[in-house]
Amino acid sequence: MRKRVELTLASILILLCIGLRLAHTDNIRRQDRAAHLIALDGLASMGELERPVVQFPHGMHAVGDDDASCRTCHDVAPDGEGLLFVFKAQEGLSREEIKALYHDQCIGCHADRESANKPTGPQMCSGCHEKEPLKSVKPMHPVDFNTPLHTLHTEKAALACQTCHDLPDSSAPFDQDRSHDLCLGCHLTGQSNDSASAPLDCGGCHTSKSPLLVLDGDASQGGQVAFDHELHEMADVSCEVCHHKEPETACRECHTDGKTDTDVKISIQAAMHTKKSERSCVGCHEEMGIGDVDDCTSCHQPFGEDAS
Amino acid sequence: MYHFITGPLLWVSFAIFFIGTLTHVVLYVKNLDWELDRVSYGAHTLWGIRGALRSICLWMTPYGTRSWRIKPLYTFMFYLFHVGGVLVPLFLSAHGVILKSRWGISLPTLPGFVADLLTVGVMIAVVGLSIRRCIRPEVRALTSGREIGTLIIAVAPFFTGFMAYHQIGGGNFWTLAHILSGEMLLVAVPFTKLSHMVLFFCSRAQIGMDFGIKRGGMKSVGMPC
Repeated sequence: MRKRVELTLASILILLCIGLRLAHTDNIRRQDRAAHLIALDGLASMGELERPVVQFPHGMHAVGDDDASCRTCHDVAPDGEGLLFVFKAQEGLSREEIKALYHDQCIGCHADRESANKPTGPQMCSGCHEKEPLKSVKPMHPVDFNTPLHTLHTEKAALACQTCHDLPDSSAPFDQDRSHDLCLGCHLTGQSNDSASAPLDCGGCHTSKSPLLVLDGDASQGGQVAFDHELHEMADVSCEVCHHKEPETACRECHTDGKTDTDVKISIQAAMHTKKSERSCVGCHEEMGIGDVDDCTSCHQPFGEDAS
Repeated sequence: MYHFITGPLLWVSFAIFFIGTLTHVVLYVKNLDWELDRVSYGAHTLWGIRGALRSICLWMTPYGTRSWRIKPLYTFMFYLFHVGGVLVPLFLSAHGVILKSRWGISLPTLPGFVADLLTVGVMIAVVGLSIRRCIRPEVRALTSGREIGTLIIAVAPFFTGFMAYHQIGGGNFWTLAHILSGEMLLVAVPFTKLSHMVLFFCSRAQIGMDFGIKRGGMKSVGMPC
């Protein structure tokens, strides 16, 4: 009798283990689905790390799909201007206090979200302190702050030079912390006005290629146009307005420079500039009241400048 | 699901562990009979307490008693098992994090590599003790499936914890297995010989009292030899 009870108990335990293993993956967002990871290795400067460095998937936390906001993790800067771009205020804390801060806040939040049946993160050690290098870890791309992007800041956002460029007597290096403070602080305040062009996610700035599509027509006819395709996708413009033949067909496949004899009689210049059609850039901008359509440089780079 | 095994299931395990072990102690004391045991519990109490503490302390000290000294290899394996078995669960850094965040209890913690070495020691000791159980006739006669099962239950949290710590083949799986095996250990204590966790102190106290009073302990105060 006793043996039978023990056997039954052992079987139940084994089944419980298997069931828990199967059920465990519910609602847990895996780190390896994240593209943009930040290594939380700040404690490394305070002595040898006990556990593998946490590769923090910032993009998965800053999705803004519920009540979690930037302020959940980032405190307001001591001067009251913007946010601190480290996790909470760590100034003056000991190694053990910083460790406890991360554990309390991260695990606490993950546990609360599990209770609330919201998508959540790991609560077990190895869920965050992953030993194996993550497949999705990509070296952070430098910000390709090219001319069109510069123009976006000076013209569209109308920033004064000194907003980014220090006065000559400043000797502070423009390192990662400072650029994050400056750029993200500004983007943060600009978010409510224009979220599409003031990115807060890593990939918004750290991208391997320019987000702008270079429309390089005949150089003798005018400078290149750095076309922000994404901006137009976000605007209330459907694909068919521009790609009116087929979604994959680019403008220049039909509209040529006007010198080549084709079936399509509308040149690329006319297709882009005519005010008679809403399909053209100028026609659409005029219809929607966007920008000064008579100012060529609102789209074209000045001659001789390369937009790529 | 993690909530469940570290919430209700953990509380059930703790309840069974504490109520079970307390029941063991209460029944042990309740069933003491000075006539049957021929131990003087009521008289010469101070001598009795002294003898009890002496016995507990010496038997907990490596090579502290004659029986430990005549079996040095066994004694080594025994302490390798028990030192790690007690220190690691209580003072592991990761356990400290949970204790602090859950209940605000702040305990000193072992450095990671020390806890790791002690855990490996526990596992090696279990292998050694199992071999001894198989080859020494005097303990082989006392060994059944139940003893081996108890040993497996005792070492399972250390093995799974080691796998989880080093993330060998799915850290999350081994962490879950670790928690469950730890809970299984807690539940098993009152129902198996693991109850020596508390009964060791009871029986050593009882024998220590006997020896502290009657069997030579009070010779110095004029008791006949």
